[in-house]
Amino acid sequence: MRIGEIIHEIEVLPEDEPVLLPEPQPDTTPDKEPEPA
Amino acid sequence: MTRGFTGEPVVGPIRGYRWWRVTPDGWLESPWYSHTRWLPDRNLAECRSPGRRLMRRGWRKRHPSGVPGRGCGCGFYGLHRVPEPDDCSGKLWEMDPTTWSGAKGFIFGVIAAWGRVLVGTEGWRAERGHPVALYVPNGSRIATDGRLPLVLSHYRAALVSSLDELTGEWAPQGAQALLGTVSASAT
Repeated sequence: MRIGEIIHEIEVLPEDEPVLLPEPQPDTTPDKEPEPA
Repeated sequence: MTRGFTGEPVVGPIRGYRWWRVTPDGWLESPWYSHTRWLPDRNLAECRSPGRRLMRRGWRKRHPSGVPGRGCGCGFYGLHRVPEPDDCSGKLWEMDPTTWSGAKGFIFGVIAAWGRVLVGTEGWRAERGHPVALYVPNGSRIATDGRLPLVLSHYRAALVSSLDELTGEWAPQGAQALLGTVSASAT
C-alpha cells in the first residue's frame, strides 16, 4: 500500500494517556536596577 | 513522547482503513509481508527490513526517530479513503472491499493508531495501533466458515456488514483534518 507523499510527521497520544506538558520554569531574569536619579 | 520526535503532538488515536488476513483460528495478521499477528489492544510496529541487522548504520540513518522511518516502508498502514474499484490495478492494498472483504481470508476495516505517525497524501504509517472496526458482509466466506466467531472472541472491534456503515461511523479523519489539528494545536 502506498501512503503517497509524506507531508507531515505527528505524535498521536492515546486518549487514556495524560498529556505531559513541560513544567513552567521560574523567571530567572534579574530585576532591572532602578535608574540612578 | 517518542524519543527524538520533532513533530507536532495530537491527542486521541487517528483512524485509517486497512486490510488484514485472517488465520484459520481467527487471528488477524498483517496481510502482505510480515504476517505479524495482531493483538487486541496494543500493537507495536517493528521494522523487518533485513538491513536492520546487516547494515545498522544505514538502518539508523533511515530511522533517526525509530519506526516508522521516512526512508523505509515500515509501520502500521492506514488509508484516508476506501479504495475505489477503479484503483484495483493489480495493487494489493487497493482491492475493492465490497468484493474482497470477508472473502478468501481477507478483512477490510479500520485501525486506530497512535505514537509516531508519518502522514501522507493517501494514508499514514504509524508506530502503534489496533483494529476497531471490521467489515464482513453477510454470506461472505469468513461469515460462514466458522472463523468470524473466533475473530470476535479475540478482538473487541465492532463488526459491520455494510461498507456504508463502516464509512459512516468509522471514517478516518483524513489528511487535511489531521494537519488542521496540528495547526490548531500549534497556535
